[in-house]
Amino acid sequence: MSDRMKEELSPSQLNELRHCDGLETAQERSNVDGEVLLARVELMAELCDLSCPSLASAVMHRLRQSGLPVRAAFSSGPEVPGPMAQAVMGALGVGRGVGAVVADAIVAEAGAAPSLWAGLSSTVGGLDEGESGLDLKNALYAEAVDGSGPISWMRASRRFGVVGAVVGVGIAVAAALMLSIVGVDGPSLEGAMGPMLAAPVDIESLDVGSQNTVQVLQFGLDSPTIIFIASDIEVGK
Amino acid sequence: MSVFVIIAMLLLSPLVGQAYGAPDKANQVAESVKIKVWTVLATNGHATIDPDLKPIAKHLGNLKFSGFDLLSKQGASIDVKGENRFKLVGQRSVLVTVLSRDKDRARVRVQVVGPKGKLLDTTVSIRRNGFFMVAGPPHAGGVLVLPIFARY
Repeated sequence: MSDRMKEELSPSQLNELRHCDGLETAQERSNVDGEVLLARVELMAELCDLSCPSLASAVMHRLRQSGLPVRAAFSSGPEVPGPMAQAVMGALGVGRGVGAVVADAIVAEAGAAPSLWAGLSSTVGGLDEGESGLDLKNALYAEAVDGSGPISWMRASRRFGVVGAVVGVGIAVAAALMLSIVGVDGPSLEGAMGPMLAAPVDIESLDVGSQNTVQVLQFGLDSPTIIFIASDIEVGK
Repeated sequence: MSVFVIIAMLLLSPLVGQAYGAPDKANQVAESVKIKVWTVLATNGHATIDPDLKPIAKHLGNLKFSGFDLLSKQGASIDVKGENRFKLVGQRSVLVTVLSRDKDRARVRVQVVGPKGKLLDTTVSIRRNGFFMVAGPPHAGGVLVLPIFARY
């Protein structure tokens, strides 16, 4: 790997390359998230599972029929100023580039390849098929551009889970506190009266002795009964 | 989500344990009545009502007094057939005996005793979470009013 390539690749891409080449250190290997590895395996399986017909011979036959004068282009290249590749391509007279010609040959032989994104998204899970293929593609692109941190499209549900867990813990703590207050007859609640029913009482017996008199006051059905022990005081309004 | 469930179970497990253990305590409470006795001084010396008496101020207002001071609040859980004596000012006391109770009413015997002997001996049926008042014993230029609450 050249230094120029190192400059152009992001850290995550470098790690990917080292991982694929088996050059990563033990520490780097230990830092690889198991979930990411699993996603890689699934992606690889999905990509390898594509049934690709053997097109090489047919494509090369088409290219030969196109009559590209490759040898002549190389032999005449030095006489053309500029880089050799550009000179060769100029000599070939292929304005669109050889890649486009090869692509045309492949499409002509095998037809247009279907989009892989929908299948990939359904394989890795977490995204719906169909339109979400573009989201997955964009996520992969964003991850490749970012080059740092975890793979975002794999972490979305986990982040939600963490937030949900935190909120859940908060709710659980609040519920625990509330239950502990309500469920225990603590001294702090001793003075709380709660609802009171103001209603008459049924007097079964009443004795105030021979030296006292009593007045039973009832100011309404929604008022408490008042038993007044006295004879010389007019108490009721 | 599973993490949340596990943490919630861990946090709530002691309380759940209390809840499962609660029937014994609930049964114990169900056999008793919480009696509260307040001591209120009704006077014409002023025209203010103690803020703590706000829950019953409307009923105190039926008495021919302008001011009401809360002197004390006492309370006790009394088992059926049990009794408790609440000491009042002026060497007075109230002996409360819970005779019985059902889902609607509690039968309670209330005996008010002064320095010179019995002032009142009555048996009343109080509506659940209801109250009544005993008044009359003179004190500090006014009279004592004793709201008696039965809660269960």
